[in-house]
This record gives sequence, structure tokens and C-alpha cells, in this order.
Amino acid sequence: MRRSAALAALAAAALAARPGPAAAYVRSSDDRTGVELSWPLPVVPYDVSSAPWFPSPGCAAGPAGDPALDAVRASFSEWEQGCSSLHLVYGGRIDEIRVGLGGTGENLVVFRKGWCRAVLSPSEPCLSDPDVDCGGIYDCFEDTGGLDRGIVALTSVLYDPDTGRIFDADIEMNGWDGQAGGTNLAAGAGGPPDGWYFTCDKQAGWPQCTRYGEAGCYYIDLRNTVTHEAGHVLGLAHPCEGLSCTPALQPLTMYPQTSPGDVEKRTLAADDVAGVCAIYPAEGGGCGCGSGGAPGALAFLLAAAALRPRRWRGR
Amino acid sequence: MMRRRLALAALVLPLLAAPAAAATFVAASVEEAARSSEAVVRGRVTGTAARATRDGRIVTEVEIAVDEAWKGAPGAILKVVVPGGRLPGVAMKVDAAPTFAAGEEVVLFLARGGAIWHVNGWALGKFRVVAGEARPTLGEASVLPRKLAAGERQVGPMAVAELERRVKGAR
Repeated sequence: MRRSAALAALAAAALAARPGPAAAYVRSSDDRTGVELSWPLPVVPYDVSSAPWFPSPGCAAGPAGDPALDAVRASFSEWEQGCSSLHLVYGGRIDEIRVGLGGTGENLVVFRKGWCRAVLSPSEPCLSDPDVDCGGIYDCFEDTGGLDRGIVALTSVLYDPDTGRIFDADIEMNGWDGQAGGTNLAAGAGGPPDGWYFTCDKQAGWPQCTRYGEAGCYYIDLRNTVTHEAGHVLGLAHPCEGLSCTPALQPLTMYPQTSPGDVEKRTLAADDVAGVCAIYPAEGGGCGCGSGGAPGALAFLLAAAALRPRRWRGR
Repeated sequence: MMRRRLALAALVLPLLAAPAAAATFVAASVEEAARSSEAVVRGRVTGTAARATRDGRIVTEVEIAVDEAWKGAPGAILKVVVPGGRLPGVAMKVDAAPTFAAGEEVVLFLARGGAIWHVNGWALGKFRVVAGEARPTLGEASVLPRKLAAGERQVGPMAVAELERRVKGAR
């Protein structure tokens, strides 16, 4: 793509995105070397764990489709912008619940099922063994302290600290354990009692959910959350922290605060678009993308090459 | 050739890797943090040592010289295990987890898993003390606001004296 075309694409993408403050985006970096993180190629495959989870009724798969999977895929696709060569390629469902160095190397989205100390026997060895993560065995979220249950979602990124090259990223969604449907899900001191209740839709007039298993209501929007976490996967940090967070930054997908019913982060603001396009510019990526974001032939070849080694391992 | 390069990268890169992480927390008050902790201490970091775990993670053992125990009686010296750390050629950075430096003065909200102390609430449970002010280091963590009990204060920067008063007054 020529420079003029790239600039035109950037301008078009910025106009299409939600407005927001300019140049507020912050890139993730290594705190010792200061090197900024990015994927070495603008084609990033990701998978969704096939482990069953306990969705809210509006997220449950049925004959008409799989709203939760649709939400995850839409969240990643949102980061594919016309000013960027980035392509996020969904690889499918895989039989994997481990993340980070303990996993098998796929970029994974996995739904945890409740808090480990609520669903496991107190005598379970992993609960008192710092060398073992219960989540990688039982697909729950390990909560040694009561406040640990306040964690809604967690993204881990593996990278080379000297070059900033990312080569693995995983998102854990700390979902409902499926037990005690109908009980109050209000978040207490450290979070809700049986895991976070993710919803996939929000319609005018709907109330905020108050009980696990409730339908026709909203709580933590799945797509809103995954879109934000996917930004971290790609090498973006929050634009502010603590007292430096002003209302002007709130429209950004990478803004570090959210609340039940927040769906604003589903759609990138102009500054989020500027961030992803700065990291993966259309011109430098060599993907041959058009300004509309249509994937070029080289992008598909890279995606196919990136996915193929995992098929060799029988996935 | 491309497949061979990618396969090679998959073998080599984990040895050079440094994970980072981002998390979303629900807001908590100092009083809630105190009530849900087995111990709350003010002390100084006297040493850190990272190590690999059996399941392929890196954790750091942090030694704390306790000056004051505001809750519980964890002893004069205690070891806290936190996710992340650096080993030669490989590091794990978890932005939602607290990090420590030797000599740092801290206030820690602690939970016990077996014989091991952990920081309760990851980054929410560690305050760094500088010039009389205690400041949590939330890093890449997002915060989900919620209404707190009347009179309680959300975890955030505050004077050490106020933090101590709120911890000791938590019921």
C-alpha cells in the first residue's frame, strides 16, 4: 500500500470509530528494558477452549448458533481495522485449559468455572501447593485470598523481553460455576460468590441481572470484556492509571474501568484504532490489505502457516 | 520453509519469554481487604528470589521483615509468594500481581494457602509506602466500580496513618 492510501485508510478508520481523545493510547512494554510489545507478524491465530462452561441463557449455544463464540470472535474482529495489516484468525475449539508456559502454545480464550476454593475440596493438594495452578487442572480460578474473586478477566502475554516479540497470549474469563442457579450474584467484597455472570446481549428496557441463571437482563457484557482484553493481547496497555484517568478517556476501549451493562468497549474509539494501527500499520505489515480491511493473499498464507503446526499436533 | 521456521520458533521462544498480564478487579474497600485477610503487616522487603514451578510458571518468593502487624501474628520474618519474576533468560511479568524490590517499604494484606503466604487480591493487596503515603500499585489492572459500605474507603492512595486506622478499625 502506498503512503497516501495508508493515510486515507487511517483517516477513514478514525472517522468510522467512536470519537475520543487523540493520541492517548499506550503500548505495553517490558518494565526493565522498556521495549514495546508486538506480534512479529500481523497475523495472529487464536482458539477458544472446548471445555464446557455455564453461560447465562443469552450466551448459551443452541440451534440458532453460539452467541458466546460469536461475541468472542466479534471482539477480536473489532481490532481488524482498515488502517492496519492485522488479521486475527479464529482457529476453532481446542481441548486445552492451561495458559502461559504451562499450556501448549495456542493463543487461548478459556472460561473458568467458579472459584477453586468454592468448587474444590479443601484437601485438594493444588490449593496449598504454589508449584501447581489449580486452574490448569480443574478449570476454576484459584482464589487464595477473598479479594482474588474480584478478578473478572485475566490476560497473560508471553514475550521476549529483549525484542518485545509476543508469541503467546491467553485470556481467562472467570465465569459462573453453574451451581446454585437463582441465587444472588451481587458482587461482594471480593466479587460474586459463584463466579462472574457474563451476558451476551443488552436490550432497551432490560434490568441488571440480580440472580445466576436469570435471562432478559444484563450483567458483565462478554463482548465488551473480551474486546478490552484482546487489546492487551495485541500489545496495548491502559491509557491511564488511577488518578490520571479522566472522564475524557472513558470512551476508550482500553480505559481501565468498566461496570455491569457497559457495552461501549465493544466498539473501538478513534484512539484505540490509532493504537492498533501504530503497532501494525498497513504499509509496514506487507499484507497487501485494502483500506476496507479485506485480507490480502499474503495474510491468508501467513495465517495458514501459523495454524498448520498445531494441526500437526493433532488439534 | 515457513512451517519449519514456525516450528523452530515454537521450540525456542518459550525459553526467551516474559509473560505480561492484565486483569479486571471489582473495587474493594480497605476495610473489606482487612476483613478478608488473615494478616496485615507493615514491613520492608529484604530479598526476592524467583523460581520456576513444576507446571511451567515462574513465581517469586519475597522475604518481608515485619515492623508492625496490624492484624494477625505472622511473625517477624515472613515469606510471600507472588506470580511472576525473572530467571536467567526467561521472565514472567503479571501486571495484575504485585511486584517487589529489595528495600521497599510496604503494607501487605495477606492470605494463607497451606504454609504459604499470598497477597490477598493481587495488586489490590499491596501498598508501597513513600514519605508517609501508602499507594497501591494497580499497574495494568482495570477496576470495576461498586458501591461500598458507608464510611469505608476504596483501596487507593492514602496516608499510612489513615490506612492503619482503617485496618485496625475494620469489623
